[in-house]
Amino acid sequence: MKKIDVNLLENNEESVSKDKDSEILSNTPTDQEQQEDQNLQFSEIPSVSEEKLEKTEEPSQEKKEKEEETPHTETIKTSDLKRGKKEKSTKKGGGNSSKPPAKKKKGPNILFIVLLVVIVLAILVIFTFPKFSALVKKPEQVKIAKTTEFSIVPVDEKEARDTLAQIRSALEQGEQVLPENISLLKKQLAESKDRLHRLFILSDHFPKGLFWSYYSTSGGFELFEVKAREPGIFEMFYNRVMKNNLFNTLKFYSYDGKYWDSLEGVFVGTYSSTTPIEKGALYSMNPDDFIAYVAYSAQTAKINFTDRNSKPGKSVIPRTKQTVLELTFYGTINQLERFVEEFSKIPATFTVSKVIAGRKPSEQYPDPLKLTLFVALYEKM
Amino acid sequence: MLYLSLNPNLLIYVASRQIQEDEIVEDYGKLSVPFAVDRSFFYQKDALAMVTALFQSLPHYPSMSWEELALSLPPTLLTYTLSPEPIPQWIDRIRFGETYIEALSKKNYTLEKGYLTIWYDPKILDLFVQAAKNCGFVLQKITSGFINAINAINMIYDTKNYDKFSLLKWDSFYSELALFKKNILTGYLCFRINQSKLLPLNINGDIPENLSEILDTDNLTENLYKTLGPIFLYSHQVVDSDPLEPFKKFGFCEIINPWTGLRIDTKQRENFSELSSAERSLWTETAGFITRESL
Repeated sequence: MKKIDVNLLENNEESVSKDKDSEILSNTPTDQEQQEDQNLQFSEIPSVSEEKLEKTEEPSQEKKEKEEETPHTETIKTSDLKRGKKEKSTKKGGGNSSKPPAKKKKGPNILFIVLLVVIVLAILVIFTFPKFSALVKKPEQVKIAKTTEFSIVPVDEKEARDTLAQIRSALEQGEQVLPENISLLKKQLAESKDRLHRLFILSDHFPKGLFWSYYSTSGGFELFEVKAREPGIFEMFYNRVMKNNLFNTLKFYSYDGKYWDSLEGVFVGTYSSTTPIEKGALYSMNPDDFIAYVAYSAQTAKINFTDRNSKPGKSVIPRTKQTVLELTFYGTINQLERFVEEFSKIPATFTVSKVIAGRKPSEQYPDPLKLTLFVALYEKM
Repeated sequence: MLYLSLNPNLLIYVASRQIQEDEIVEDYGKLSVPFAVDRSFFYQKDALAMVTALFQSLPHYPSMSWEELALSLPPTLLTYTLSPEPIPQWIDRIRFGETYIEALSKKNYTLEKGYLTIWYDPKILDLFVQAAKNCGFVLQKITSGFINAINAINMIYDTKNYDKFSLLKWDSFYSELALFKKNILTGYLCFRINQSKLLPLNINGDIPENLSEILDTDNLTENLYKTLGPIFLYSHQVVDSDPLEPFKKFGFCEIINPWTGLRIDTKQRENFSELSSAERSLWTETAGFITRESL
């Protein structure tokens, strides 16, 4: 491994703002130049001017005298490191001297002897030990004993037998097994409720000076495109939400590679839904009535509402039809939160598959936020 | 010569004296850093005064006249890229943005395979030079702390026999990981740990595709070892419990002893017995400046 000799104070720096691509490429040393550079690294003392070099040579005689006065010194010994031939090198200038020989090295002869010993031992083991299969203990076969059936209720007694039959009958009548697709829908409804409220829970942790746009999907993942007024705001947001366990994972990708010092970037997070699955009946509502309810909820929260793109979807529930609606609202974060509270209470069966929120790049606070919901509405046929 | 490694929480130093061709370590220590080591701090009005005050708190040894300094910086102040070709400027502009790129300079270094590019803010470097000057020091060299650590394992260990291995800096702020294949630096990762969550901040070079999954799992240490092979480790945090303890159970997780091969004054050596292996590794970046005598 070649030593990486970095000194950012050296004068051959490239100013990114001034250079052109072609210049950068032409700065790439040729093989010959690289070789020369390496030779220089091994022979010269970099970062020291000629004057200093002269100065450093002068006191060398004094140093010889001083050496006698030097306190006793020792080098740390590492038992597993093998000492090689001593090779002196220049030190001044921050360790720019040549690379010392490799350590922890063992000669090829030792390796050969070790290999030979291992082979001999292996042969001895093969011929002296019993066969491997003989060493493996076979599991004993479990014998299943024939036992007579027993019951806590003495089946011989007629009265008891009748009681047992009644209990069984009652249990069977009370059992309600939902079809798999209904169970799935109920799970989706619970997740959807979580998805609707996530933005508002997270917005409580937005620091001042954070500009964001939010995107959430049914895949359980959330994406924030963020801009900050000053460095450090993203780190503050990250620490706040992680402290409150609002994400399972949250990753930050800065656009400029400056990590928390960035002013632009993206957070990508995943979370687990915590809303319990609700029991009870599913309601049916046609799209027109649903839109009327949505408009009423928007009016209650004093926000603007526009409905767009209403189209039929493919329903997974037998004897139902699905309508996919794209609903857009404008308001402050508090108004939108109030709307969502009302919206959740609409007596219809619907899931929210996507939530998009934010402002246009040209807009800023206190311009209203835009919230778009993708809703799948189920209606009984 | 006074060698310094600056990191967000600690300033580590090693003072050495040149005697003929040899460099003898005369003193070593650590200081708390009372400010945030990020770019925004260095643009504050009192940044120069605070860095000067930090340098002034370094021990002075008038009889030895150490006036030369070498300084290594953390990944909060430097940005690295490993690439097969030099990076054209138009990519720089996309990556850093028009405004930020104007403030930056970069240097390209040829590696055995590909290029290492380091971006830095010359204003911040000038501030360190000025702060050193205010204290009567001459700043001779500024480099990356993690690259110093790479040079340290290069000097101390014979890594040629490994198909792959890695170097891990375990830090409470910004941890760094370098991957090597056939003794050649192939990948670099900077990540942050926050309440057991891992956040990759800078990934480049030849990094395994599933590395994010590896970092996200609970068995981080085991997965790193299984995926990346032997790990050379050092710590850059001082805590009550040993931060490198989870790695110690594995067959080859070597906590770097940066003092190996260095000549140390006998009086200072006595203090070593009180340090744990993780504490000793705090000086890895600093001691990486010093070329050891041949072993």
